Amino acid sequence: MQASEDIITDLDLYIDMIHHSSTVNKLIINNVVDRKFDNYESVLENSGKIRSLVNKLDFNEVKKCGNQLPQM
Amino acid sequence: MEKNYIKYLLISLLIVVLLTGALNYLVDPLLYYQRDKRPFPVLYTEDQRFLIPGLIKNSRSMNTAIIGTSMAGIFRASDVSALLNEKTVKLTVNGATLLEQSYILSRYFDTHPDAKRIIWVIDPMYVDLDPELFTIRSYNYPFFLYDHNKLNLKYLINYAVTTHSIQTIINGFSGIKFYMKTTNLDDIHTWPLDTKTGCKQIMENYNKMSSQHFEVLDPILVPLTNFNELNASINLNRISELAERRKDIQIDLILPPYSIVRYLFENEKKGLNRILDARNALASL
Repeated sequence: MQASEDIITDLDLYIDMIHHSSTVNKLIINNVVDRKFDNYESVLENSGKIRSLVNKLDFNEVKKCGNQLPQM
Repeated sequence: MEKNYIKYLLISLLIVVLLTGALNYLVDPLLYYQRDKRPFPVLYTEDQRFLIPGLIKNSRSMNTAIIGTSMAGIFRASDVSALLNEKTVKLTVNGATLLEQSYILSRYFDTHPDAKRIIWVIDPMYVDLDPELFTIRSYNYPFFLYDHNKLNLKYLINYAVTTHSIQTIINGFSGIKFYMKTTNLDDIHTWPLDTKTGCKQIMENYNKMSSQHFEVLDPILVPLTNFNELNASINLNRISELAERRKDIQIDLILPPYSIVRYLFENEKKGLNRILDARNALASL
């Protein structure tokens, strides 16, 4: 088995916080094909990045849809 | 006189039952039977739990399957087929627990000796749920559709199946569309291409999700804050067992893309640690 993932912080790519965007999911499938995200360590590393980003961001500011979110 | 009345009534009932059974057998709207040709174009239902058993039986030539929840439901099987250069069938189910997903994949394995690849999109939200929970919503699960008994009375004499048969016939003759049904399998569960995108749209959804309505809608998932290692271990073992069973198949596990807004939302309701722990547990498989 291989694990794959991508973390995308660009809000414009998302149409629904809970669900999905065909653009993003097509991109994810492309990544599976290309093997760009195919190791477990990257998942662990990304979990740390997510936590760090969440700590850094002010949700109230994000809700205002001002600037694009920083890329990890 | 009364005896004759009862006799005629019973005979009439028997005729109605036989005609219903014959109709459903002939039209086979939920693809219960494995057939190459059908009298009417198939009218696929959006209710995946009623659609998938028939899809599995009638997709013997499809050597690749997509498994997962609604997070994977957005994939078009045709896109995946084109990318992988394999024939792909989508077997995703909204709100399916890992137990239900494993059950579906197991049935696919049973009927697809030539299967080559599985794209399994695993939603971290589901990793540590109760391992005996089949769906996150109460549901009268149609296990009878997975049977192989040709004289399946639960299927042949069934109100919902009969309704679907009649709709299939009407659609076949007139092209009339019915709610939540389509003749294009590739469109099932996907989003329209003109769906709005952008921050405003996301925040509108966020406001919906953070309302009480969401908690009522998803009473199992929303209150969870602590990662349950024991549950996760049992659920993830099921994945390993399936992989062991068919070592000839390549299984790609994918974590679906949650937006940063989703993580912020989870953090706000104290659920972020649970999701991150679930991702890490999956990664350690």
